[in-house]
Amino acid sequence: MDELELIQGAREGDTEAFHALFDAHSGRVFALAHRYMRNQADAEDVMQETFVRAYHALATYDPSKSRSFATWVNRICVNCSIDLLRRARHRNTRSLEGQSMNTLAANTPEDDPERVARNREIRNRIDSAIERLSPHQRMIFILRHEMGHSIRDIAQSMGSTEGSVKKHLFRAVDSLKKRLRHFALEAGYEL
Amino acid sequence: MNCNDARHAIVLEHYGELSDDEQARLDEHLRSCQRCDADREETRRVLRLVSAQDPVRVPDFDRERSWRYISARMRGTPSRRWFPLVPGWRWGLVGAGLLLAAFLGIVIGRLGVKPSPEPDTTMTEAAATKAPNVPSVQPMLVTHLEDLRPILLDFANSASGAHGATITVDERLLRALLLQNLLLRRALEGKDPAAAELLDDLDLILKEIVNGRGPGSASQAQVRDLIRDREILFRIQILRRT
Repeated sequence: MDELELIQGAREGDTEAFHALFDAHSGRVFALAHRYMRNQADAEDVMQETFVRAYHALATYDPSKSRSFATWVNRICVNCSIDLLRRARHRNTRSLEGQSMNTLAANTPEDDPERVARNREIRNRIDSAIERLSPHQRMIFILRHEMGHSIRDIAQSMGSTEGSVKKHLFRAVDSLKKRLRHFALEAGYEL
Repeated sequence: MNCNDARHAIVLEHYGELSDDEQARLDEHLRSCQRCDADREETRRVLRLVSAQDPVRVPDFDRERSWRYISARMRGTPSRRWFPLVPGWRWGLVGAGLLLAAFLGIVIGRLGVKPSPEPDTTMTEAAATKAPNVPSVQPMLVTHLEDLRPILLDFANSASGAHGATITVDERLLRALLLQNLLLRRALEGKDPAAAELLDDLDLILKEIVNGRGPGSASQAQVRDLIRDREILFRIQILRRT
Protein backbone atom coordinates (compact mmCIF):
# COMPACT_ATOMS: atom_id res chain seq x y z
CA MET A 1 0.00 0.00 0.00
CA ASP A 2 1.51 3.34 -0.95
CA GLU A 3 1.36 6.47 1.17
CA LEU A 4 -1.63 8.00 -0.58
CA GLU A 5 -3.63 4.83 -0.03
CA LEU A 6 -2.64 4.86 3.63
CA ILE A 7 -3.74 8.49 3.93
CA GLN A 8 -7.03 7.70 2.26
CA GLY A 9 -7.54 4.72 4.55
CA ALA A 10 -6.75 6.80 7.63
CA ARG A 11 -9.22 9.44 6.50
CA GLU A 12 -11.86 6.74 6.36
CA GLY A 13 -11.10 5.73 9.91
CA ASP A 14 -8.64 2.90 9.28
CA THR A 15 -6.49 3.01 12.42
CA GLU A 16 -3.99 0.53 11.03
CA ALA A 17 -3.39 2.77 8.02
CA PHE A 18 -2.62 5.67 10.30
CA HIS A 19 -0.42 3.40 12.42
CA ALA A 20 1.60 2.69 9.28
CA LEU A 21 1.95 6.43 8.62
CA PHE A 22 3.02 6.89 12.23
CA ASP A 23 5.66 4.18 11.86
CA ALA A 24 6.99 5.79 8.70
CA HIS A 25 7.26 9.35 9.97
CA SER A 26 7.49 9.31 13.77
CA GLY A 27 11.27 8.88 13.86
CA ARG A 28 11.87 11.98 11.77
CA VAL A 29 9.28 13.98 13.67
CA PHE A 30 10.78 12.92 16.98
CA ALA A 31 14.28 13.87 15.81
CA LEU A 32 13.14 17.38 14.88
CA ALA A 33 11.20 17.75 18.13
CA HIS A 34 14.17 16.56 20.14
CA ARG A 35 16.58 18.95 18.49
CA TYR A 36 14.19 21.78 19.16
CA MET A 37 12.89 20.94 22.64
CA ARG A 38 16.26 19.63 23.83
CA ASN A 39 14.85 16.95 26.07
CA GLN A 40 13.21 13.59 25.51
CA ALA A 41 10.01 14.07 27.49
CA ASP A 42 9.04 17.26 25.65
CA ALA A 43 10.09 15.75 22.33
CA GLU A 44 7.76 12.80 22.94
CA ASP A 45 4.94 15.17 23.87
CA VAL A 46 5.46 17.13 20.67
CA MET A 47 5.67 14.00 18.54
CA GLN A 48 2.46 12.57 20.01
CA GLU A 49 0.60 15.85 19.73
CA THR A 50 1.80 16.19 16.13
CA PHE A 51 0.23 12.87 15.14
CA VAL A 52 -2.99 13.51 17.05
CA ARG A 53 -3.36 16.87 15.29
CA ALA A 54 -2.41 15.30 11.97
CA TYR A 55 -5.06 12.61 12.37
CA HIS A 56 -7.80 15.11 13.14
CA ALA A 57 -6.68 17.37 10.29
CA LEU A 58 -6.28 14.65 7.66
CA ALA A 59 -9.31 15.91 5.80
CA THR A 60 -7.50 19.19 5.13
CA TYR A 61 -4.41 17.53 3.65
CA ASP A 62 -4.37 17.95 -0.12
CA PRO A 63 -1.64 15.97 -1.90
CA SER A 64 -2.38 17.77 -5.15
CA LYS A 65 -0.90 20.95 -3.68
CA SER A 66 2.55 19.47 -4.28
CA ARG A 67 3.24 19.16 -0.60
CA SER A 68 4.42 15.79 0.56
CA PHE A 69 2.88 14.19 3.61
CA ALA A 70 6.28 14.45 5.31
CA THR A 71 6.37 18.23 4.78
CA TRP A 72 2.80 18.55 5.98
CA VAL A 73 3.49 16.57 9.17
CA ASN A 74 6.72 18.53 9.58
CA ARG A 75 4.76 21.73 9.59
CA ILE A 76 2.44 20.44 12.29
CA CYS A 77 5.47 19.37 14.31
CA VAL A 78 7.04 22.84 13.93
CA ASN A 79 3.85 24.48 15.19
CA CYS A 80 3.52 22.04 18.09
CA SER A 81 7.14 22.56 19.08
CA ILE A 82 6.84 26.35 19.06
CA ASP A 83 3.55 26.13 20.98
CA LEU A 84 5.01 23.91 23.66
CA LEU A 85 8.17 26.00 24.01
CA ARG A 86 6.10 29.15 24.45
CA ARG A 87 3.90 27.47 27.05
CA ALA A 88 6.86 26.01 28.88
CA ARG A 89 8.66 29.35 28.92
CA HIS A 90 5.52 31.08 30.07
CA ARG A 91 4.67 28.58 32.76
CA ASN A 92 8.27 27.70 33.48
CA THR A 93 7.15 24.25 34.48
CA ARG A 94 9.43 21.89 32.71
CA SER A 95 13.08 22.74 32.74
CA LEU A 96 13.83 23.32 29.11
CA GLU A 97 16.81 25.47 29.87
CA GLY A 98 18.28 23.18 32.47
CA GLN A 99 18.77 20.04 30.50
CA SER A 100 21.69 20.35 28.25
CA MET A 101 22.09 18.23 25.21
CA ASN A 102 25.67 17.58 26.18
CA THR A 103 24.41 14.68 28.24
CA LEU A 104 23.62 13.02 24.96
CA ALA A 105 26.82 13.92 23.22
CA ALA A 106 28.55 10.93 21.78
CA ASN A 107 31.55 10.58 24.06
CA THR A 108 33.37 7.30 24.19
CA PRO A 109 35.27 5.91 27.18
CA GLU A 110 38.60 6.30 25.43
CA ASP A 111 38.07 10.04 24.94
CA ASP A 112 40.51 12.33 26.66
CA PRO A 113 38.76 13.51 29.88
CA GLU A 114 40.00 17.05 29.31
CA ARG A 115 38.63 17.05 25.83
CA VAL A 116 35.30 15.69 27.07
CA ALA A 117 35.11 18.40 29.73
CA ARG A 118 36.05 21.06 27.21
CA ASN A 119 33.44 19.82 24.75
CA ARG A 120 30.85 19.82 27.48
CA GLU A 121 31.65 23.38 28.40
CA ILE A 122 31.47 24.52 24.79
CA ARG A 123 28.24 22.64 24.27
CA ASN A 124 26.75 24.25 27.37
CA ARG A 125 27.60 27.70 26.09
CA ILE A 126 26.16 26.97 22.68
CA ASP A 127 23.01 25.44 24.16
CA SER A 128 22.58 28.41 26.40
CA ALA A 129 22.94 30.79 23.45
CA ILE A 130 20.44 28.80 21.36
CA GLU A 131 17.97 28.65 24.24
CA ARG A 132 17.92 32.42 24.37
CA LEU A 133 16.68 32.70 20.80
CA SER A 134 13.00 33.38 20.23
CA PRO A 135 10.93 30.25 19.45
CA HIS A 136 10.84 31.13 15.74
CA GLN A 137 14.51 32.01 15.47
CA ARG A 138 15.40 28.83 17.32
CA MET A 139 13.32 26.68 14.99
CA ILE A 140 14.72 28.29 11.87
CA PHE A 141 18.30 28.04 13.08
CA ILE A 142 17.90 24.37 13.98
CA LEU A 143 16.24 23.52 10.70
CA ARG A 144 18.88 25.36 8.69
CA HIS A 145 22.07 24.90 10.65
CA GLU A 146 21.58 21.58 12.39
CA MET A 147 19.28 19.77 10.00
CA GLY A 148 20.41 21.33 6.73
CA HIS A 149 16.97 22.25 5.39
CA SER A 150 16.93 24.90 2.67
CA ILE A 151 15.38 28.31 3.27
CA ARG A 152 12.64 27.34 0.86
CA ASP A 153 11.81 24.13 2.71
CA ILE A 154 11.83 25.95 6.02
CA ALA A 155 9.44 28.57 4.67
CA GLN A 156 7.17 25.76 3.55
CA SER A 157 7.43 23.93 6.87
CA MET A 158 6.65 27.05 8.81
CA GLY A 159 4.00 28.44 6.51
CA SER A 160 6.09 31.55 6.09
CA THR A 161 7.83 33.45 3.33
CA GLU A 162 11.46 32.99 2.36
CA GLY A 163 12.12 36.64 3.17
CA SER A 164 10.80 36.21 6.69
CA VAL A 165 12.85 33.05 7.21
CA LYS A 166 16.01 34.85 6.03
CA LYS A 167 15.33 37.70 8.43
CA HIS A 168 14.84 35.35 11.37
CA LEU A 169 17.92 33.36 10.41
CA PHE A 170 20.00 36.53 10.31
CA ARG A 171 18.72 37.61 13.72
CA ALA A 172 19.40 34.17 15.16
CA VAL A 173 22.98 34.15 13.87
CA ASP A 174 23.48 37.73 14.99
CA SER A 175 22.31 36.82 18.48
CA LEU A 176 24.60 33.79 18.60
CA LYS A 177 27.53 35.91 17.44
CA LYS A 178 26.96 38.37 20.27
CA ARG A 179 26.93 35.58 22.83
CA LEU A 180 29.65 33.37 21.44
CA ARG A 181 32.10 35.67 19.66
CA HIS A 182 34.54 35.98 22.55
CA PHE A 183 34.32 32.32 23.30
CA ALA A 184 34.93 31.42 19.65
CA LEU A 185 38.11 33.51 19.75
CA GLU A 186 39.27 31.97 23.03
CA ALA A 187 38.55 28.50 21.76
CA GLY A 188 40.72 29.24 18.76
CA TYR A 189 38.24 28.45 16.05
CA GLU A 190 40.29 30.10 13.39
CA LEU A 191 39.34 29.76 9.79
CA MET B 1 25.05 46.85 -1.60
CA ASN B 2 25.27 48.70 1.70
CA CYS B 3 26.71 47.34 4.95
CA ASN B 4 23.35 46.30 6.36
CA ASP B 5 22.52 44.26 3.27
CA ALA B 6 25.99 42.82 3.35
CA ARG B 7 25.59 41.61 6.94
CA HIS B 8 22.41 39.77 5.97
CA ALA B 9 24.06 38.37 2.85
CA ILE B 10 27.03 37.09 4.87
CA VAL B 11 24.76 34.76 6.84
CA LEU B 12 23.05 33.53 3.70
CA GLU B 13 26.44 33.07 2.02
CA HIS B 14 27.51 30.76 4.84
CA TYR B 15 24.54 28.53 4.12
CA GLY B 16 24.94 28.69 0.34
CA GLU B 17 21.69 30.56 -0.08
CA LEU B 18 22.98 33.41 -2.28
CA SER B 19 22.39 33.59 -5.97
CA ASP B 20 25.41 34.21 -8.23
CA ASP B 21 24.38 37.82 -8.65
CA GLU B 22 24.02 38.38 -4.90
CA GLN B 23 27.36 36.67 -4.30
CA ALA B 24 29.07 38.94 -6.81
CA ARG B 25 27.61 42.04 -5.18
CA LEU B 26 28.65 40.84 -1.73
CA ASP B 27 32.19 40.13 -2.89
CA GLU B 28 32.39 43.56 -4.44
CA HIS B 29 31.24 45.19 -1.20
CA LEU B 30 33.64 43.15 0.93
CA ARG B 31 36.61 44.20 -1.21
CA SER B 32 35.99 47.79 -0.24
CA CYS B 33 34.68 47.36 3.36
CA GLN B 34 37.04 46.02 6.01
CA ARG B 35 34.36 46.13 8.67
CA CYS B 36 32.02 43.82 6.78
CA ASP B 37 34.94 41.60 5.87
CA ALA B 38 35.73 41.27 9.60
CA ASP B 39 32.06 40.56 10.25
CA ARG B 40 32.14 37.72 7.73
CA GLU B 41 35.14 36.25 9.48
CA GLU B 42 33.43 36.45 12.84
CA THR B 43 30.22 34.90 11.49
CA ARG B 44 32.14 31.99 10.05
CA ARG B 45 34.12 31.53 13.25
CA VAL B 46 31.03 31.40 15.46
CA LEU B 47 29.05 29.11 13.16
CA ARG B 48 32.09 26.88 12.84
CA LEU B 49 32.26 26.69 16.62
CA VAL B 50 28.61 25.63 16.75
CA SER B 51 29.16 23.03 14.03
CA ALA B 52 32.36 21.65 15.51
CA GLN B 53 30.72 20.05 18.51
CA ASP B 54 30.11 16.36 18.87
CA PRO B 55 26.94 15.39 17.10
CA VAL B 56 23.92 15.14 19.30
CA ARG B 57 22.53 11.65 19.46
CA VAL B 58 18.77 11.49 19.24
CA PRO B 59 17.60 9.00 21.87
CA ASP B 60 15.16 6.20 21.21
CA PHE B 61 11.58 6.58 22.21
CA ASP B 62 8.94 4.04 23.11
CA ARG B 63 6.94 3.71 19.91
CA GLU B 64 4.34 1.40 21.36
CA ARG B 65 3.61 3.64 24.32
CA SER B 66 3.41 6.68 22.05
CA TRP B 67 1.09 4.88 19.68
CA ARG B 68 -1.18 3.79 22.54
CA TYR B 69 -1.44 7.41 23.64
CA ILE B 70 -2.07 8.67 20.10
CA SER B 71 -4.68 6.01 19.29
CA ALA B 72 -6.51 6.83 22.53
CA ARG B 73 -6.56 10.51 21.57
CA MET B 74 -7.65 9.65 18.03
CA ARG B 75 -10.85 8.18 19.39
CA GLY B 76 -11.67 11.33 21.30
CA THR B 77 -12.79 14.62 19.91
CA PRO B 78 -10.13 16.94 18.55
CA SER B 79 -8.92 19.33 21.16
CA ARG B 80 -7.34 22.72 20.67
CA ARG B 81 -5.65 22.37 24.02
CA TRP B 82 -2.80 20.09 24.86
CA PHE B 83 -3.98 19.18 28.31
CA PRO B 84 -7.64 20.17 28.30
CA LEU B 85 -8.21 19.05 31.87
CA VAL B 86 -5.60 21.28 33.44
CA PRO B 87 -7.18 24.67 32.69
CA GLY B 88 -10.60 23.17 33.46
CA TRP B 89 -9.40 22.08 36.85
CA ARG B 90 -7.88 25.44 37.54
CA TRP B 91 -10.96 27.37 36.56
CA GLY B 92 -13.13 24.91 38.41
CA LEU B 93 -11.11 25.43 41.57
CA VAL B 94 -11.21 29.21 41.20
CA GLY B 95 -14.98 29.12 40.66
CA ALA B 96 -15.52 26.79 43.60
CA GLY B 97 -13.34 29.01 45.80
CA LEU B 98 -15.26 32.12 44.87
CA LEU B 99 -18.59 30.42 45.47
CA LEU B 100 -17.42 29.13 48.83
CA ALA B 101 -16.14 32.56 49.86
CA ALA B 102 -19.41 34.21 48.82
CA PHE B 103 -21.44 31.56 50.62
CA LEU B 104 -19.41 31.86 53.82
CA GLY B 105 -19.66 35.64 53.67
CA ILE B 106 -23.43 35.48 53.46
CA VAL B 107 -23.73 32.82 56.18
CA ILE B 108 -21.42 34.66 58.57
CA GLY B 109 -23.19 37.92 57.85
CA ARG B 110 -26.66 36.56 58.50
CA LEU B 111 -26.17 33.96 61.23
CA GLY B 112 -24.69 35.51 64.29
CA VAL B 113 -24.87 35.55 68.04
CA LYS B 114 -26.11 38.45 70.10
CA PRO B 115 -23.52 41.13 70.58
CA SER B 116 -22.00 41.70 74.00
CA PRO B 117 -23.08 44.89 75.78
CA GLU B 118 -19.83 46.78 75.58
CA PRO B 119 -17.36 46.28 72.80
CA ASP B 120 -13.74 46.36 73.80
CA THR B 121 -12.39 48.83 71.31
CA THR B 122 -9.16 49.55 73.17
CA MET B 123 -7.52 46.57 71.57
CA THR B 124 -8.65 47.57 68.11
CA GLU B 125 -7.55 51.17 68.61
CA ALA B 126 -4.14 50.00 69.81
CA ALA B 127 -3.79 47.71 66.86
CA ALA B 128 -4.83 50.47 64.53
CA THR B 129 -2.06 52.76 65.77
CA LYS B 130 0.43 50.11 64.70
CA ALA B 131 -1.10 49.74 61.27
CA PRO B 132 1.56 49.70 58.57
CA ASN B 133 1.36 52.07 55.71
CA VAL B 134 -0.09 49.78 53.07
CA PRO B 135 1.06 50.72 49.57
CA SER B 136 -2.18 49.80 47.91
CA VAL B 137 -5.28 49.28 50.03
CA GLN B 138 -7.80 49.59 47.26
CA PRO B 139 -8.44 45.85 46.85
CA MET B 140 -8.69 45.48 50.64
CA LEU B 141 -11.13 48.36 50.80
CA VAL B 142 -13.32 46.75 48.17
CA THR B 143 -13.27 43.44 50.05
CA HIS B 144 -14.10 45.24 53.28
CA LEU B 145 -17.05 46.99 51.70
CA GLU B 146 -18.21 43.69 50.19
CA ASP B 147 -18.13 42.14 53.67
CA LEU B 148 -20.09 45.00 55.18
CA ARG B 149 -22.70 45.35 52.47
CA PRO B 150 -25.04 42.43 53.42
CA ILE B 151 -25.11 43.56 57.06
CA LEU B 152 -25.86 47.15 56.10
CA LEU B 153 -28.54 45.99 53.68
CA ASP B 154 -30.26 44.06 56.45
CA PHE B 155 -30.32 47.16 58.63
CA ALA B 156 -31.35 49.47 55.82
CA ASN B 157 -34.31 47.23 55.00
CA SER B 158 -35.37 46.59 58.57
CA ALA B 159 -38.87 47.66 59.73
CA SER B 160 -39.15 50.17 62.54
CA GLY B 161 -40.90 49.78 65.91
CA ALA B 162 -41.93 46.65 67.74
CA HIS B 163 -42.84 44.84 64.49
CA GLY B 164 -39.30 44.82 63.26
CA ALA B 165 -37.29 41.63 63.60
CA THR B 166 -34.04 41.81 65.47
CA ILE B 167 -30.98 41.68 63.31
CA THR B 168 -28.19 39.82 65.00
CA VAL B 169 -24.66 39.81 63.75
CA ASP B 170 -21.83 37.68 65.02
CA GLU B 171 -19.87 39.66 67.55
CA ARG B 172 -16.49 38.39 66.45
CA LEU B 173 -17.30 39.31 62.90
CA LEU B 174 -18.29 42.81 64.00
CA ARG B 175 -15.06 43.23 65.95
CA ALA B 176 -13.06 42.05 62.98
CA LEU B 177 -14.91 44.48 60.70
CA LEU B 178 -14.41 47.28 63.17
CA LEU B 179 -10.68 46.61 63.35
CA GLN B 180 -10.46 46.32 59.58
CA ASN B 181 -12.35 49.57 59.26
CA LEU B 182 -9.93 51.36 61.57
CA LEU B 183 -6.88 50.02 59.80
CA LEU B 184 -8.21 51.01 56.41
CA ARG B 185 -9.21 54.41 57.72
CA ARG B 186 -5.64 55.03 58.86
CA ALA B 187 -4.14 53.73 55.66
CA LEU B 188 -6.35 55.99 53.56
CA GLU B 189 -5.94 59.09 55.68
CA GLY B 190 -4.92 61.97 53.45
CA LYS B 191 -4.88 59.76 50.37
CA ASP B 192 -8.53 59.22 49.58
CA PRO B 193 -10.83 61.69 51.38
CA ALA B 194 -14.05 60.18 50.05
CA ALA B 195 -13.12 56.69 51.21
CA ALA B 196 -11.86 58.00 54.54
CA GLU B 197 -15.13 59.86 55.13
CA LEU B 198 -17.14 56.76 54.31
CA LEU B 199 -15.01 54.69 56.67
CA ASP B 200 -15.64 57.26 59.41
CA ASP B 201 -19.37 56.85 58.92
CA LEU B 202 -19.02 53.08 58.84
CA ASP B 203 -17.06 53.21 62.06
CA LEU B 204 -19.93 55.06 63.68
CA ILE B 205 -22.49 52.60 62.31
CA LEU B 206 -20.50 49.54 63.35
CA LYS B 207 -20.15 50.85 66.86
CA GLU B 208 -23.86 51.56 66.94
CA ILE B 209 -24.60 47.99 65.81
CA VAL B 210 -22.26 46.56 68.42
CA ASN B 211 -23.92 48.58 71.16
CA GLY B 212 -27.51 47.96 70.02
CA ARG B 213 -29.56 45.24 71.67
CA GLY B 214 -33.16 43.98 71.93
CA PRO B 215 -35.83 43.44 69.27
CA GLY B 216 -36.92 46.57 67.46
CA SER B 217 -34.50 48.55 69.56
CA ALA B 218 -34.00 52.23 69.07
CA SER B 219 -30.40 51.48 68.12
CA GLN B 220 -31.45 49.31 65.17
CA ALA B 221 -33.64 52.13 63.88
CA GLN B 222 -30.81 54.57 64.39
CA VAL B 223 -28.49 52.39 62.42
CA ARG B 224 -31.07 52.15 59.64
CA ASP B 225 -31.53 55.93 59.62
CA LEU B 226 -27.82 56.51 59.64
CA ILE B 227 -27.39 54.23 56.63
CA ARG B 228 -30.22 55.95 54.78
CA ASP B 229 -29.42 59.54 55.73
CA ARG B 230 -25.77 59.30 54.91
CA GLU B 231 -26.45 57.34 51.73
CA ILE B 232 -24.00 54.71 52.82
CA LEU B 233 -25.08 52.01 50.38
CA PHE B 234 -24.96 54.38 47.45
CA ARG B 235 -21.51 55.63 48.43
CA ILE B 236 -20.29 52.06 48.81
CA GLN B 237 -21.55 51.29 45.36
CA ILE B 238 -19.74 54.30 43.93
CA LEU B 239 -16.49 53.43 45.68
CA ARG B 240 -16.65 49.81 44.58
CA ARG B 241 -17.05 50.91 41.00
CA THR B 242 -14.22 53.40 41.09
